[in-house]
Amino acid sequence: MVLSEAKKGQWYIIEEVDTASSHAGSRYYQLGIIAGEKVMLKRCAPIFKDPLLIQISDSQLALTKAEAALIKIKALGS
Amino acid sequence: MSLVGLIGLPNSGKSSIFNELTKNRQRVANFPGITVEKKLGKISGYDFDFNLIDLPGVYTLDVSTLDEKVTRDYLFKKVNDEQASVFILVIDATNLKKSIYLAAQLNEIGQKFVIALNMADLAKNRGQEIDTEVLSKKLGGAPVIPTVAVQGKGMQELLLAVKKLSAQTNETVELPKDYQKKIKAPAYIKEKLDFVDEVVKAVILKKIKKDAFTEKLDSVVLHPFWGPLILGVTLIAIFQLLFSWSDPFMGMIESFFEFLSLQVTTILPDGYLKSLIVDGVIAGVGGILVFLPHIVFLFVIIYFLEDFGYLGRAAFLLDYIMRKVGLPGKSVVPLLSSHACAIPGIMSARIIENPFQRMLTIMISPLTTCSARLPVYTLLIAAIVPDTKVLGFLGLPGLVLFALYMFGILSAFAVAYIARKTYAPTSPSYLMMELPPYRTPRIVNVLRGALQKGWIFIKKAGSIILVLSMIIWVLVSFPKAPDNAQQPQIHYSYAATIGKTFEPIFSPLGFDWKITTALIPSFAAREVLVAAMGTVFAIEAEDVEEEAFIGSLSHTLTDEYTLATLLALLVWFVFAPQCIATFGVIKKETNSYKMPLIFGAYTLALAYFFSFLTYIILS
Repeated sequence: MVLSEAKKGQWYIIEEVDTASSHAGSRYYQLGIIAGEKVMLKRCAPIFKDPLLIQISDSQLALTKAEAALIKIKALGS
Repeated sequence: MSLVGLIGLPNSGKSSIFNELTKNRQRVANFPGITVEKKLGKISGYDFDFNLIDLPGVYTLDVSTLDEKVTRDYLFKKVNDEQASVFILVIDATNLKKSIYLAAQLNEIGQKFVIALNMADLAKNRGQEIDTEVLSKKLGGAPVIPTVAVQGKGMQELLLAVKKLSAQTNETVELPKDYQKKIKAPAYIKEKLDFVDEVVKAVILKKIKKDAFTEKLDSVVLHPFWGPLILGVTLIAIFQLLFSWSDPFMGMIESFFEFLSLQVTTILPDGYLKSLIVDGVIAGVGGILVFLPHIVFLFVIIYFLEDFGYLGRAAFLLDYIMRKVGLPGKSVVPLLSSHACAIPGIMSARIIENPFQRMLTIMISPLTTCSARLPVYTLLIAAIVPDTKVLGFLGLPGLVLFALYMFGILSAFAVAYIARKTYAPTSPSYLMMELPPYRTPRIVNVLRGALQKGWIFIKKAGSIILVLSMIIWVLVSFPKAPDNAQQPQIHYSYAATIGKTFEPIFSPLGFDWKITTALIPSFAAREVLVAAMGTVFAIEAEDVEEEAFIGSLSHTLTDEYTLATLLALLVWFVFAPQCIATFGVIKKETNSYKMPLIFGAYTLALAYFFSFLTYIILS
């Protein structure tokens, strides 16, 4: 599954980030979005449910649904 | 004098360190080719003088935007002739992990740097312990100085460390061959990220507790219902404050310059000198200074919200809607402010991180309905729109005015959309950003920054605006009317000659030479059109805002012109760049003559096209 499909308030582990097909490229790893990191979907923006607010490591990041769709995740502990 | 570079991640507290170190000894210039300000500050004392330069924030040396490239270039000789010898790397102690990548790269290329471990107190309060000795050791022995910039703590120690470092042999670093390619390789990134993990494990003795205040506030500010409501109220408040705070000051500035011209008028004999001083210099300078209240107050509000952390949240809430037209959420601030005046609006586009989107916002902001258009719209609406009610209670003139506002903002969006589609492949944009914890804004820095904005405007844009307004004065005032003249002065001026010359070009829009002539002084500012039309038709008035004057002028217009012409003129004012100050400020903000020229060309083209269309359809 990918981060844009994540359930709110649940922790996941990032499996892979598909930076090759992204226009944001290096921004992913620069903001700490890397394989092996724990991640949680905290909030969706009101009304349109896009962009998303995620918690990763010690920081809160905002990213669009399309940007989150490139982040492959798996449930913590599975 | 040696140059010290200030480097760090976005939101690392770089600017508060810069402010604390340089206080009021700051100079602002422009980095060549980009829209980001180059902030320099002189630091003396400790028997060691140097210039500190505030470089755009970067996450790593793998840079992608123009702004980030500037920072990279300052690190290497050959790429930049103005190379810094020592760097201060600002690291946010509460968010240490992300900065280590950059620190490791600085160490790797052999650059000399001191680490300012900022917000050390906040990290400590929240239970985090950092082993600064181990941190230093891991990063090639770079000195680590804990600082609390907003309280001025650690600044002396920081300066001493910089001095000590710069006293060592001064070798400049060259860009290693293939370095740019190397740092993009997955293997390299993996290795660096592993190193970051290793350092974090070794230096962070105790992990930080969550910032409960930020969590709590975000649950309200980003709430599905309260979030948009708070945002709406904030935006309306910005708009209202901008007007209500600025108005009295603008009135004061205007009265002062009126008083000044009155004094000069009584002292000097009639003639060229008097006209030059009163209508040229005093009017020109007054026309520049009158923008100051808007600029200063808008930036007080913006810097306050930015320091506090709300601007990022606003961008988050607005991203989806604005993205549809290719603009970032933050562009709402410049677009909204431009409804008061495009000058502060354009200047506030600086809050947009992405260089392309920043440029785009600058170019479209003047299409929104600024307050200088209101007197023009009022006059023309009075001339063409009957004062009747629609549906029994809605005044038709009011509806037309509302439609003009909508027309302005929709045109701005349409231009943005088309420009985005045209240039999209070459300029990636993305939202991905950090929403940093809320912080207490430092009022001193907010005020200093806002005043600095005002001063830079006068210095950088003022000269261009003054030159252009002098040109307009010459065009309108010369040659002088003959002694036995039957017509007002403007009929004999260069402006009238130009108006008559251009009449064939403007006749497809229904404009005669009188309108074309009146457009020339209106380049000084849109509202001047009302007075200029009065002058052309020789309607006397003490005050051009007088109702009687507007009434008789609008009657003259209805008698003189067809509905098609007047509507075409109305449409002309929606698009046409009838404001030299806008040219001045675009030149200043984009640091190029090309952009104001492109702006002038595209808005004139739109004005001509839509006015032509209006005239054709209606006649």
